[in-house]
Amino acid sequence: MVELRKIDRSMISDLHRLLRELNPRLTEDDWERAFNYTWGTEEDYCGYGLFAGSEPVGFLGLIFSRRLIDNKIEAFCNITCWIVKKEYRGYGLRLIQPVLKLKDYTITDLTPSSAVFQILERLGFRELDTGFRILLPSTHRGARRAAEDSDNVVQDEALIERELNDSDRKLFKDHKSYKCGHLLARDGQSYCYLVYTRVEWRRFPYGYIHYISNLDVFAKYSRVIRAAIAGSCKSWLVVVDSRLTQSVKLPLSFDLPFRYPKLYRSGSTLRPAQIDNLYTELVVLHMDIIPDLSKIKRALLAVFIGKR
Amino acid sequence: MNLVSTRDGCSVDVDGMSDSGDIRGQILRIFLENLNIEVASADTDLIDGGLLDSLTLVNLLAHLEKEFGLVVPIEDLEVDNFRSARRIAELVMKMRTPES
Repeated sequence: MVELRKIDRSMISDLHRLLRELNPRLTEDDWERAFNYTWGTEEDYCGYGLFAGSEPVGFLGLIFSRRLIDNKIEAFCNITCWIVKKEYRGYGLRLIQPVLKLKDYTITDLTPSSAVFQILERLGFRELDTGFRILLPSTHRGARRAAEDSDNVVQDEALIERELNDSDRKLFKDHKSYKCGHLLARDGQSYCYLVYTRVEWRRFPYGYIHYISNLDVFAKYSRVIRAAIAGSCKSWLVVVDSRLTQSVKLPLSFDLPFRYPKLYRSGSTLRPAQIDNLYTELVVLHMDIIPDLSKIKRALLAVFIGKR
Repeated sequence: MNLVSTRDGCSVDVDGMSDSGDIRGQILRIFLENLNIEVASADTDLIDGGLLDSLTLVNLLAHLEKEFGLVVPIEDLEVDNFRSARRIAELVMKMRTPES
């Protein structure tokens, strides 16, 4: 008899062994921190579990959040993970069924596997984003210009917190415990606030931007921003999802596809560009998104010597 | 044993079929031809037998829609109704019969 149960935060510790099967790299602390988030939510649960007797055999993890977008409060539900033991996969759909009933929410899955991608697509999820942009380090001339702009870029968290407006300060506070990087680029009376993480992909670190508050300011200071993020991540590579930079021209950058597109289903009229990566598995678990090295090599060759 | 031949020369056992036999035969054919799953009989347990995972179930629903014109809302489906070809056939028959 396989039973579906609502999972609250106190039950996450019962799922550790199962979660280790999903991703051995992540520790029990990582999972505890991911679901014991500090922002308040109306929901009193963080997912659904499948149980064979007392043994957990499946888990769909959810992160709920509310965001202020275009002066409207939007409800979000992020599918953080979906794991079912092989012998119980026939019951896997039970996990997603209650989520499909969340009609007023924007539901996202930003790291779907092949099977999950196919399932969610059939369940009416749409592509949120199909690829990301790699921002390469500045050239000599670019570095000089970046150095001139560097006074406008702040990485001191106390200073950033003071300068942010209420809405951005909430984002800052909510993500403070997730080892995120925060950066502020000032431009007169405006600013661009960024949230990023340092991600390791096969021991290769890179900076991954999840939130850009002002695209115009970002574009203006993109060289110094990427230099600052790369420096703090001890990497030369910075990546950002294509929808977050839209069609903005960024020097020395190129696009690559995700392994599987990011997906969403929305009960609202939100556009993909309005849906960032905050309050998701990408920031709370520092998941990687780089597809495979050969694609990067090919793209780099194309950028530098025009070969494909 | 009553074998039904499929287009690619394989065969499925649809033994013991009556009125709903055609539907069971069609369902077994969908499994074999569209989902590449050989189901031994109409009573084979697809769920606990490991033949039907979430992706296959979602694909099966798409084929049922195409073949029988049935739309099964995934939010409300009972996994147990898909436990065997016989159970699926019963569901198809039930959904095709207008409620009085």
